[in-house]
Formats: sequence, C-alpha cells, structure tokens
Amino acid sequence: MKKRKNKWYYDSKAYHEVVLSGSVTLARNLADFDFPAKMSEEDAAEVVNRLRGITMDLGAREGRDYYSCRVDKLSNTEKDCLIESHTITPSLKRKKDPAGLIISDDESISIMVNEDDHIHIQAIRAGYNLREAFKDANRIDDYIDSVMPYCFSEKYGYLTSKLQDAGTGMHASYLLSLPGITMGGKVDALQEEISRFDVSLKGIYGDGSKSAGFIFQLKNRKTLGMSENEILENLEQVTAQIVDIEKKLRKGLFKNVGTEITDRIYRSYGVLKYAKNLPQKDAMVLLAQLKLGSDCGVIKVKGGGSVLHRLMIEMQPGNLQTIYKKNMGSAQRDEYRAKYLNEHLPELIPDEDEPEE
Amino acid sequence: MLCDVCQTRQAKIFYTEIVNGQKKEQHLCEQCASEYTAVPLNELLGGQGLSSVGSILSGILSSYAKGKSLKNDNHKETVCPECGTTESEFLKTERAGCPFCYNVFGDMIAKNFKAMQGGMTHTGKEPSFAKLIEIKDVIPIKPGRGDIDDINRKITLDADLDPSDEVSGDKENSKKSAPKKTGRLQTRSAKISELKEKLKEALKVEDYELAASLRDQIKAYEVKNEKKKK
Repeated sequence: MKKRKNKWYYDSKAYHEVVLSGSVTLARNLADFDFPAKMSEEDAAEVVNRLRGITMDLGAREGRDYYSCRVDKLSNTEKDCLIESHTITPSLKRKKDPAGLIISDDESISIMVNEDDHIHIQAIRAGYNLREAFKDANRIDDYIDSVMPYCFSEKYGYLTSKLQDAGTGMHASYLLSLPGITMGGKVDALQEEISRFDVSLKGIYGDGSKSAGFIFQLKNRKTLGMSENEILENLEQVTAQIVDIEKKLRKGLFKNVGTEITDRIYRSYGVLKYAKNLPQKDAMVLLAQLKLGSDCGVIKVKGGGSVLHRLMIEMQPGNLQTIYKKNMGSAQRDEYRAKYLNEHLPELIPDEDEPEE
Repeated sequence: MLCDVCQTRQAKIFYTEIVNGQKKEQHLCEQCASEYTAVPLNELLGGQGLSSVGSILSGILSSYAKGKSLKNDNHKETVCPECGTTESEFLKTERAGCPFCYNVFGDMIAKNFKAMQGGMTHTGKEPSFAKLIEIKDVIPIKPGRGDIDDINRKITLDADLDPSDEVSGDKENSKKSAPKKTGRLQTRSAKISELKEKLKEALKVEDYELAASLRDQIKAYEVKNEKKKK
C-alpha cells in the first residue's frame, strides 16, 4: 500500500459529469462460524487467515496483484486513507478483533474480512459503470464460493448479520455530484420522491444528510425479494432520471444566475490556487464549484473534472498525511492541504474563441 | 375507533405504510404512538444518529415488541442457544449473531422483512457450494394484532413440542397458565382450535385479510400434525 500506483479514480476515460463512481458490495458469511459480532478472537483470526490464504490464487486468476493485510494492525492514517477512497468502511476501522483486507493493486476490488459479516466483497468503478463493478464483485464471489462454503438459506438467501442485508446481500450504490439540484434547493423533495423507489439518497462529506461538496450516495434499500439484476436495473433507472434533472437544473442555474455562478467558479479557482489555509469542508465546496464550472464548460482546466475528483479524495486527512509522510494536527493539515492544492490544481486552459454571452 | 395496541383509548393517529403497493394501516392513540416514536428516537440520537428512514421504521418495530414485553411481567427472554444473542439485544441491534438466530427469532425476522424488505423470499443468485440452512416457515404477525408473547410461545412450541402435554383448546385457560410453564403447554391441536376460534371471530367482523392469514396458519399446523402422526 506504500506505492501510489494508478488507482481506480485516476480513470479519466470513465469520467462522468454527474456520476462520480459506482460500487457494488456483496455480504457473505462462511458456514461453521458465528457472525463476526459474536465470534471468539480465535475464530476471527481463523477466518482472516483462511481468506488471506487465497490472496495469491486470486491474483493469479485475475491476472493482477492483490495484497492482503490485517486491518486491525494498520495505523489510523492508513485506515483513513482507505476510507477516503471508499475502499473500506468506517466501521471496519473501529474493529478491535482480527479483521482483514484483500485489495487489488488499483484498489478497485477489495474484500473486507470480519466487518459486519465475514466477507464483504466490494468493487468500485469510476463513472457510470455499475455493471462492470457488479461483474467484478460477482466474479470474486464465484471464486470464493468455489473454495469455501457460504451459509445460505433457500428461503432468505445469503444469511447476514444485519437484517437489512439478507437475501442477495448486495448493496449497489452510485456516488453522484449534484450541485444543480443542491443549489436549486431540490434535495429534500428529491429525497422524499426517491424513497418510493426503494433507494436512498444520502449526503456524504457533511453533517447528517447535508453534503459539503454536493456529493450524494444513491443506494438500494432492499436486498430480499429482488434479484441482483432487478436491484441494478432499478438503481440505474433512478440514476438516469436524477442525471436528467441535474443536467436540466445546471442549465437553468446558468440561465438565471449565470454571472453570479461564473463569479463563484472563478473565485473558487483563485482561492484554491492561492489560499494558505484550507479546511476540508471549504476545500470540498470550492473543488465542487470548480468541477461544476468545468463540467459546464464555463472554465477549462487541464485534465478536466476527473482531476478535480481525484483532488477531492487526495486532499482528505488520511491521504494528505500519507502524501507528506507525517502525522499532523487538524490546523497543520489545513495548511498542508492548501499547499497541496496550490501545487496540484490543474492549470487553466484559456478559451480560444472569446466567449460570447 | 379504538387504538390497535391498548384497545382502550380512542385512536387518533393513523399510521399507514405502503410497501410494494401493499397498504398496511395502524390506528393508534396518542399515548401509544408517543411510546412508539419517543423511545427509539432518543436511543438513536444517543447512538448512531438518525441515519435513515429505515432506522426510524425499524425502531418502531423494536419498541413495539418492547412495549409488549414491559406490560407482561412474566415475559421471558428468548436466547439463541448457539451464539447467546438475547431477544432484547436482537431487537436493539437488529442483527443476527449466527445463522441459527434466523430460526430462533424467526417470527420477528419475518415481521421485519415484511415491513422493511417487502419481499419474503430470496430470488437472486445462489451459491454452487454452500451449507444450506433450513429456515422454518413462520407466519408474520401483523402489527397491532399479534402479540409478542404469541411469538415466544410459538418458538418454544416449534422447538420442543411434546404431544403428551395435552391441554384443552380453551383460549382463556392456555393464556392464564402459559406464563408458569412458559409456553410448553400448548400443543398443535390446542393451537389449531384456538386459531379456529379466532378465525370465526374474524369472519364475524368481516376481516378477511386476518381470516386468510389464520386459515393459512391452521393449514400449516394441520400439515405438521399429519406428519407427526405418520
């Protein structure tokens, strides 16, 4: 994990202006063990070892490198890094008992061991690519299925610790960037509307349901009584509609308050480029505004929105501390964050034709 | 209309839930309603915070069960013999501790699935090589109509049924004596006659939904009885 190889979120070809990434998580439990919350320490270690044992095989099958580690033995900074790129969940960080992680070289596929369940297979892809993520997760699931027995009931499907996961054990989610809907004041209405389709929309990087960088997670709520394909289809349909609404609202935004928004976008660039102290929340909002400008063609930056998305991940505490190889307090982090963004903010590409407004 | 829960006060709050186009209604009085919402809300705020609608709704379920058990002093907690998960623990976390819990807390799980998931049977992927866990059929009890004690009684009933414990099908009788011996008293035939009694009542008040569910329950017990005889 020391090396900074190409990560999944570097994939600029897959970049989508609304859909940042899609991920699929499959929850599985091994037969013959109690679920992680009720497991003895020895059993927990045994499960971790069994799964770590398949790492090499998995790598050979998939034709790329896989690494494994004991999550309970990582430093907090290392764990934060993995949380910030959505590779592991915060609840795995808090685990005191033996827990493990198997991860592909680009971090797009990860297997969390002893989180809520023995096995959480997660596959994540940049952009509008949920099906590919599902294929990845499903392939890994088939492989593990062939080497160790899962516990399964014909009635309730894959048995999981949390009742909300039983059945397919699958949670599919899209990470969406919704500045148009947020600035248009439509988030609450959308959240209400959307719950009818058995999906939930939740703000991330913020307090409660609010989102600091207009970033929201759209996720299926039901796992039982629907097949994997139905869950994906449903989520895709809802996403397609949200994308439509978002695009319309973005256009409307520029039509109605265009000069104000354009000013905000350029201001964001200025602050990110020259400010010397940037708290995470501020930086997230500024990057999101800049991303909006880039997506709508108001401002052109080298590498486009994909680079800005990458900066959103890399300017978070764990990544920042890894990049600068030191532990920092929050005040110090804000300074280093500013320094990092000053240096890495992509250059502006001047317009060839003068914009006609 | 009287409150579905206490059956004494006037119902003022109508709680409707629509899952997959199926409508479920509960009529509650102010007191019972506040009991339902206040308890889990406080707990959630102290705990993980209000993360989703799901946690509020499921909180309603657990406080429903809790409210029921508090009213009954003789209420005995069910404990999973395999992993030691207790009923209150299960209701609080809504987590199973092991596959066996799916049978031990079967009725509550069925109820939770009906409310939260909509679907009741898995239709997705199946593993090629797995240890199959048999889940017994349980009929979910509707909110406001069922009784958490019924659930417990049925679990112990399914777990260790003793045909020699023949007891008259009199509903009053079995209810009174139930707490002393915690549920082992009722046999299937007693349960069947009790259900038939309930079915008559349901038909009288033209509650066909309840009647249908009772009919299915009776059928299930009769089938089991047949098997036992053979």
